[in-house]
Amino acid sequence: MRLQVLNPVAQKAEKKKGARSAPRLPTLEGKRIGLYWNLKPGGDAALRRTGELLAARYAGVETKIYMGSVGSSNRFATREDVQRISREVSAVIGATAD
Amino acid sequence: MAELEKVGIPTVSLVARDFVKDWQHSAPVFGVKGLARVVMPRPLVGMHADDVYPLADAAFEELVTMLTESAVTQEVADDETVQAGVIAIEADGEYAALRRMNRMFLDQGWGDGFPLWAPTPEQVDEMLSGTRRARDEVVTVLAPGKGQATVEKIAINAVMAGCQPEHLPLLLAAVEAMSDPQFMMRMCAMSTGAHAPMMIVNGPIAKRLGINSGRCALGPGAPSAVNTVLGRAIRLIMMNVGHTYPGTMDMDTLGSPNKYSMCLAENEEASPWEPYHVEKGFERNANVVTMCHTYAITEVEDGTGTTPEAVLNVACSTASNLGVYSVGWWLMGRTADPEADASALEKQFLIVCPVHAEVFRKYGWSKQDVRDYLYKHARVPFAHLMANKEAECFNASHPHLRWLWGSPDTLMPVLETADCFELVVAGGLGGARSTYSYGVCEPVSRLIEQ
Repeated sequence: MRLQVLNPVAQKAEKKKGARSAPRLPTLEGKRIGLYWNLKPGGDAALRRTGELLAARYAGVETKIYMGSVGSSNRFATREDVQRISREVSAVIGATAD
Repeated sequence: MAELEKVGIPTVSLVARDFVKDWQHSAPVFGVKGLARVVMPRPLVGMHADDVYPLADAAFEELVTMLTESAVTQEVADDETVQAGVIAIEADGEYAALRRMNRMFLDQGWGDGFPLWAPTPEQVDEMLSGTRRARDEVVTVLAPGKGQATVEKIAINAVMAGCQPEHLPLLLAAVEAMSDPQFMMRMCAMSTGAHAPMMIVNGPIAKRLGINSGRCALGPGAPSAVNTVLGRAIRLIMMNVGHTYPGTMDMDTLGSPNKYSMCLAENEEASPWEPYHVEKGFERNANVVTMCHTYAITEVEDGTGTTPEAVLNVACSTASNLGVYSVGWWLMGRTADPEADASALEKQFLIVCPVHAEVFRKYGWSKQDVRDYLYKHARVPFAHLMANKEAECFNASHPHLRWLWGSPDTLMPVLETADCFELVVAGGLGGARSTYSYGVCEPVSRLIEQ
């Protein structure tokens, strides 16, 4: 016999495939890199160490920590947060600790 | 990260191996084809910094490559979920067909593990007879997967759960409640914690539908059969409409039997107070569904206490369980979705059994009396509350309270305000066993279509 059933899965609201990733940087020298931590324990240590490694390898590189006020595991970043970060840094490294 | 990529900022993230699938599926949901990541061998939570540093060292070269090489190559393949509206299953006989359907649905991840009812077009049509709303009406876009929650999709999952047409209006209202920004669906559905949705029903509809408010209201068994299928439908809707699938968006560490189904009606006759929905501003005769998250429930047993204080002292001890994420979480700041202009307190439910309700009635205690007592006495030293919480988060959220680091023995309330203790009455007569539900964020109530 043939049993016909309806698909229970909802269509996604966004039909378009999504934006392409941003272009990569030609170099990290002289750049300001954001280190984004969502306040989950462990992520800060990874970012701290990464910041040290960047400073040791690349001349003129700076890092800026973002946490809490621009989003965390229990608070999403706003459009204004994103715009401000994009004005302040050239790239972002993130760690959620999971 | 997705939002930053969209405005032209290249990103790369450190992602634990077990979260890569979730990462991959989340990227298109949040509007980008793919996101650069470096896979870490394990999550960093619970690791000492000295153990994290070598992992960061090992990830560094690949991380630099991800920021400087040409286009991200880790783009996600298109979701190949079966898109067909109608699925045909061939088998020798009805039972075989049903088994094959169940096997197929499980293989796709569309079931909860229990046998499913077949959502045939006829069954779904019958389910839809329970509402006046059009089948193609979009009730909401359900987080976290942003699935279009049409009346039809909700009805399909209701059939699968074993619901009847008269249950559909309640489910529609429940889905609306879950899409309220205050409910914080995205955060709770995607968490590594065992967030389970709990449904509380008030009004005449409870008796009319046979939703149990008394003994074994939370199951199992025949007396709570309606409760069971209603709660089950919510889980299936979260999965198939909100796309909260285990391992893909639902990153719960262990899971919980609570996530299969949690539904009860308030035992309004046994309550010494106005019903929950009346307290929230609804008419007494209104039919209302309240949705809330719960991490876990536990017993508040006190068969010897004969005063409100005695009963509530036990409840205070229960409320002070540091193992539960939301206890003292207010010190980390409120959960917030700034885009929706929403922030949520952490609220928890004391489900008062009829025996304990009688104690409050005898002594004339109001709900506010109960709340005030819990707020005043469910307290833990600051240092203990912070033992499993991130100090930087506290410092950022409550800079005016930093003096507490110098006074670590200061007793702090486990919840932010007295009103964070919600009260409903439910359960059978006889056991002196109330129930404490460790909630997350805030409950949301909605009127049910008449």
